[in-house]
Amino acid sequence: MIRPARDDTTFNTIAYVVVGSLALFALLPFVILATNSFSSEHAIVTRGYSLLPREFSLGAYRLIFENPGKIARSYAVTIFVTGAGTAISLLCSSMAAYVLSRKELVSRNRFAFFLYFTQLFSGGLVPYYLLITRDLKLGNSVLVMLLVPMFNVMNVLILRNFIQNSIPEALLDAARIDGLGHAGIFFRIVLPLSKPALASIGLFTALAYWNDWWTPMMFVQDERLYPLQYTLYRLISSVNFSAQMVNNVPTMHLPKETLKLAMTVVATGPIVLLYPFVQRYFVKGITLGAVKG
Amino acid sequence: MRVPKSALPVPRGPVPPQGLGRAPAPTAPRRLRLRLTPAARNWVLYLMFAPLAAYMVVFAYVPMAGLVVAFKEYNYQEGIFGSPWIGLENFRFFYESGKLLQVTLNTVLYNVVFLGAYTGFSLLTAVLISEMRGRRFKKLAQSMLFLPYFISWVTVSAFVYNIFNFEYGLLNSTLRAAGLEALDIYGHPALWYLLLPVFFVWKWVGFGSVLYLAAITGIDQECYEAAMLDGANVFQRVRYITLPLIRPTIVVLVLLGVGRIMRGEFDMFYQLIGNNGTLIDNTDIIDTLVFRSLVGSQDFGMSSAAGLYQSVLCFVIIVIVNQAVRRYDRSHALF
Amino acid sequence: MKRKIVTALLFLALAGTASAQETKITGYLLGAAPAGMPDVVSALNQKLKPDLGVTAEINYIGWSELNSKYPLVLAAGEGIDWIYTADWCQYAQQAARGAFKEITLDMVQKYMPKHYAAVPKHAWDQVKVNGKIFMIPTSTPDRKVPIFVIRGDLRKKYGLPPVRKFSEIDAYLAAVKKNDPDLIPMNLDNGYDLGQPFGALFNELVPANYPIQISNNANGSPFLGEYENPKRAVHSILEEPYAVAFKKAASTMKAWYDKGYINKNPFANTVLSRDSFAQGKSAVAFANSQNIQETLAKADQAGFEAEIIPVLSRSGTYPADPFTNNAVAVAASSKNVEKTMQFLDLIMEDPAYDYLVYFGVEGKNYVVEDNKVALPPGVAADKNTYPPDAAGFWFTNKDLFKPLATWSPAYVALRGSVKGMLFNSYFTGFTFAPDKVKTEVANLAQGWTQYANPMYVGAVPSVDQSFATLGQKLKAAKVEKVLEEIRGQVADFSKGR
Repeated sequence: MIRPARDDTTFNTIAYVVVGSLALFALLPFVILATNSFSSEHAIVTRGYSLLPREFSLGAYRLIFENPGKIARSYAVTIFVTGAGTAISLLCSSMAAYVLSRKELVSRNRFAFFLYFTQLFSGGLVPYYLLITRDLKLGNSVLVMLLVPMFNVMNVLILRNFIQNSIPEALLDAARIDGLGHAGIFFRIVLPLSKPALASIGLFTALAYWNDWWTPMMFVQDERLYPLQYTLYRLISSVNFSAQMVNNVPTMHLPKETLKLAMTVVATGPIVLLYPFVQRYFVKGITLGAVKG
Repeated sequence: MRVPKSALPVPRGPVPPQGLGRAPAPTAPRRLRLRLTPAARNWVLYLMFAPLAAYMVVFAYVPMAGLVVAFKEYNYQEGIFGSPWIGLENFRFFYESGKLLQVTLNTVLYNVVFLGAYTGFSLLTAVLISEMRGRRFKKLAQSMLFLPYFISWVTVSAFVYNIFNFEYGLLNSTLRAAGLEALDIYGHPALWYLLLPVFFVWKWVGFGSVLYLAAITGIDQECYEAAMLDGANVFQRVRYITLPLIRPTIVVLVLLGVGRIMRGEFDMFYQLIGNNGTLIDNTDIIDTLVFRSLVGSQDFGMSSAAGLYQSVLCFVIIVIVNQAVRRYDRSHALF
Repeated sequence: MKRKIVTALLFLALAGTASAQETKITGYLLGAAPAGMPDVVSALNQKLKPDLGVTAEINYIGWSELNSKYPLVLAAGEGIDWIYTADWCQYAQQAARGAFKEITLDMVQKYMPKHYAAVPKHAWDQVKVNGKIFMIPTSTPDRKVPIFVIRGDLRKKYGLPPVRKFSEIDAYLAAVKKNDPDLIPMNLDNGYDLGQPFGALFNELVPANYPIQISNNANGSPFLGEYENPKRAVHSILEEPYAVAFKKAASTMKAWYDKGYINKNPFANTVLSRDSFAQGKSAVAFANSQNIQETLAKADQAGFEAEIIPVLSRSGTYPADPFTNNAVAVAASSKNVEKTMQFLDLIMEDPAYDYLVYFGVEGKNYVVEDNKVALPPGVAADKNTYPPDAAGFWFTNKDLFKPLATWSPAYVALRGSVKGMLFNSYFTGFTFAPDKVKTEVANLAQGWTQYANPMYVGAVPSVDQSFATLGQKLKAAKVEKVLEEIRGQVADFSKGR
């Protein structure tokens, strides 16, 4: 039995103070944004943000949900793209990470460089755009929204690092002696033991997909395929535009500042629910007993 | 009781479990199901690597050929490969701007500070969260730390304006109510040397702490149990087990950050600073200078030239740093 | 599963045959499709089928991706027949790079007879780049002048005389600052408003002039053209009398800034002065005579007694908007040039088509009553699924339209009075094509943004010093060389006018 030492109390105090303040620092702006999204445009423009909405108004939310079918469809597209994209990305990235961690592959560092080089040099937007729209004809499809954000070399390298450092070679040697090939080792041993890394990289990938508005902006014209973030983003742009340029549109009470805030709340909501689900993988003891017996 | 440092394992790479785990059984070799030479066995590895490699070739290497547009005068009808060569002309605006050195230095310095602060705070948070008690608080705190990721820089900028603006910002209203003088935050360049790293850390610490937390979670519990049996307290456990064991992760993440040292977080700088002439000299990075110079002309050649400049510098720096790390410990290097 | 495959194949076959029969004309507009767009497009296609045998498809390029996506769409050249363009929307740059198809007047006469008749001959001179025509200009350019609006109720309350010129508002600003602590006298945003007050002051001190844009996104320019000067003078800001006038205007702005008449942090402010004016937060609004309508309506509601003062040159004129300020261009990669031009002729000049694309479906989005265009009964303004102007068809012939019912008499009067102020000169429609001096222009644009814009709002420690620095930076960016290039282009452009 471990006695809680005095140092433990000191540590916990420090921990609560530091983590607590950081968490509060991170939370506070979000809370202010959320409460002010329920404020009227008039109050925001004249008096700025406040801790409690001075004039309660659902104007921004009404505008967003004006067309509930559209929002629902955007949610559906986003959920599909996020789910499918994350799954495929995780599978291929972790496979590649496993390969990169194998010492018997003499050229593994060259493979790693092959991947990393793409992070350094890029042809830029023009060749990429031409490739996707003109050569591969991927424009205007769900496929393009899946493919463009799919892989990030940094994630692969982080996964490789995790496999190298947290999965004992002895374990894999034992498996090899038992007759498992690479594929078997990967699926039956490496993957289950990599849950923390997979959870974190999976989370990042899912978030990247969830927040991706650039891909549909560049490549998708069909409104029915617009994911959530892009739908909201366009709402803001059109509201800003109609206030600036347009001569004849009576836009008496269009919420602009509050719209930005409401947009953040609507877009964030669902994914924040994903995070607690993922958190259970960040519990110590995952690798406990893996080497035993 | 203080535990002498030498008694604790100083790990390099994966930690061999102490006294546990099965050594390969020294019995007669069993008949292996797969009898292949090592080279041939690797075909499975190649296959596993193939999807990612194919993706990279198609989506990264093929467009990379377009880098040549940095040396060309791009014409729509002739396309990338048909347009005429103009040598280094596209780079001229950059070195004639008189700001090349300033923005390069700013980019590097800001990124170094960002990387240091981000790594420091992420590590601190991850270590604290992994060892502290209070399961619900930990989970809640982690979720909260993640929220800034969802707030776009556009929204942050509007938010910051509402706090800092001179006329009715929250900060200045409070100061005036307390009888103090209002502060013109946007008019004091030096303040932003502090503000920008704060914003950067605020936005990304959730991310970083998750990564380090995952690495910490991957440490074999046996080490901690052994240490606790030896009487180590939490500070010692952190110092002699946790930190050394996640050092490879720290090195990888720092290296990845160094590899991006010439690329700035454009959105943050552009949304927060924008075209504020008072602040520009102190906060200008390569990306914002290029944007301001080229935004009206959409010249592909010139923007590609600027990108190439950043890429080449990143490349040189990361290769040098990676080599240095390799000399220290081969397994810590990126490639 | 098998049934699904068969159904899918059937769909493909049908789609294949369908598209093989009809020509599709794809166009790009700016902004975003309004909610009622699908109905309008299907109504449009219903009319187009018997008239022209084509189907139209409209895609949009959003405002925030205008800079990145507009050139990409042209570069890809895939599935694009026509695109919106304008002198302020990259026309000269893209034309010089071969993005648009060259149009001859014969083509216009043949395929767009109505439009050919509606556009005056001198308009075609305005659209030439390197002597060639690449765009089809609107037949009805905007008629607007910049204006500023003050609160009549406050002016009368403080007993101040009416304001006729911008420099006369000093007393008004002082009074507001002293007596209304909740109001910001002038609240400028970081885009539209930034250069307006400065520009108004500057123009009172020098001959009638207009800035020559070197970059679509720089606020202002170091070059200007004297549009009333028969000698076709083009100057840089470093020459006299402009340098002195610049410094004087900047000094006034700085005095106002130091006294607190201007918001201290305009560069971070995204709220337009018209909006904060309408919300009762500030005392001066900047706009032009066309887009002020909404603000006027709100001000009336709040009892502000908005007083409109046009911002004109010393001689009381303002350069007319050229015919290039709203236009379309045919993409160089288009495969249906004739059909595209015929289609454009219909939507630009045929009243039935014109009303359809601009106002929407009759009965659903608008009705005509009392010789005015009004909303259908029971449809509120913000519920209209197809507000006029929102769909981006601004290049159509607006003279064909009846006035809108929502225009207040004051607004209509304003629109009418503007005509007399507009000045058509040798210079109207000139857009500078920077490709020969693109490096210098990039640095000039950067330098102007960094060093001149702060002087616009008075946020500098010393005007003389800042102006000296600006001069240095401009000279280092070879301002003289670019000036020569501009002079050459203006001379070519205005030959024989």
